[in-house]
Amino acid sequence: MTVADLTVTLPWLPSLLVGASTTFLLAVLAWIAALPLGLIIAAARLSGGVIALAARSFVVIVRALPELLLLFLVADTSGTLLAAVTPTAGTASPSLPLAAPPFAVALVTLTLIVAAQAAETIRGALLSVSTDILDGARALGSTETQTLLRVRVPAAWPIARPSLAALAQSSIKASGYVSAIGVVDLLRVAATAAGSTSSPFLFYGLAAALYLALGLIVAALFAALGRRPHRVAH
Amino acid sequence: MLSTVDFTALIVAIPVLLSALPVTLGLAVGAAILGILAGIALGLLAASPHHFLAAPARVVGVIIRGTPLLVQIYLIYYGLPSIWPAAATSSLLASPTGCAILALGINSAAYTADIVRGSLRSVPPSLIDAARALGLSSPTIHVHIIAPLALRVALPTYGNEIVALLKATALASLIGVVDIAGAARRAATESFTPLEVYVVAAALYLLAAALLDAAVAHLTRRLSCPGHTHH
Repeated sequence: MTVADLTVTLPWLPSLLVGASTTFLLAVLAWIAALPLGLIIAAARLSGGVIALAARSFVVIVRALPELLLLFLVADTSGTLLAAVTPTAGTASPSLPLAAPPFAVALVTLTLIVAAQAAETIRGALLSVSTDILDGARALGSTETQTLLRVRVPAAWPIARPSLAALAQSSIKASGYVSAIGVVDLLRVAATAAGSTSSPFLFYGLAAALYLALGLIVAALFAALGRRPHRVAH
Repeated sequence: MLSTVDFTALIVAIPVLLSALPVTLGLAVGAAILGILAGIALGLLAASPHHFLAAPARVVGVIIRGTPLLVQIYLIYYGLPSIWPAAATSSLLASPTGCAILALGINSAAYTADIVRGSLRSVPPSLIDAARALGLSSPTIHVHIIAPLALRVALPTYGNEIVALLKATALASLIGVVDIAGAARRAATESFTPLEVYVVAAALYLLAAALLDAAVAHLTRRLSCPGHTHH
């Protein structure tokens, strides 16, 4: 970086950091929301019957579709959905279709995508728990829900944890496309800066470096999270 | 109230999006060719016993895999001409499609390199020692011993990579390429039947992914050695 580059970059630094915090917030909230959702989907897949088929179809479809297409789908149909659940708002201004705020659309989309991936990891971890332990819990009179939440999930957690932490890092990286619907995230701020200065390469390069740094921060954060040694006896 | 699916809108959307299918496939195939060639080169470098070759190759891989693909696309499409004016006049780099293929190819190369490195490691060192003991030259060992074995390990994993690449091509629509995602967004806003348009687009992506998956599975079966299974 030359001195000239620095004088171009400095005025944009606060905006870039605000954008980076939006990206961070979005990815972390989506990841947090995706964990219980992923557990529900994983449990549904293991339950058998129609529910298992529905859960499996959801995972297969969400994972096979481009993230951008899902974002467009949620963005362009959320207005209709909102009008359906709030009939008074729809009748008040029928000419003006309701639009969900971009951040909410991005959060819902990202949560669905992360949940579909988390469900696969969680399912694998749940399956790796010895059935003897589960039979033991049932023999002691635990209900299926108690067995799942008090025995199976805690035993599966150490196995799923590294992959789930990696998922948090990849959701930072994957969140870049949400700028397409107007979320003022890191990439959007970088694009604005690139457009209004004559240094697009500098700002996109800076954005790349900030994404890399954010990803590493999140990875370190979640790698430390929930590391409870010897809490679960095997 | 919730509107149900409008079948007329569904039928109308099919030819519109079908006409964009070759663009999506072209992006995926072009980027896959670039990604395989550059990925093998990068993977061989990263697997090199010489640290001064392996270290830079691994760092490049970590940087590319650690940053969003969309940033890479913007960096090449908007950023490259500003630091390298010749890019603006070259026919490949001045077009959104050319830039998208280049960015997707470079991105895919970083993931392919990891697959290549992993598959090279799966070749038992004892086999290479045996080939050396028989007096085979290093190029012969690479082409006739290492490559055929590594390819069979790499192929199933590469199947996942090419489906991921197909999904990633949708980002090209954000720099103006009219692929399936781009055509769908346009049709969705013009027709006021977004749900139907996106359902058709989703079906096309699922179909394309299934075709690519089947092609790789077919190749894996064709290449498999009878009586010899990996893991």
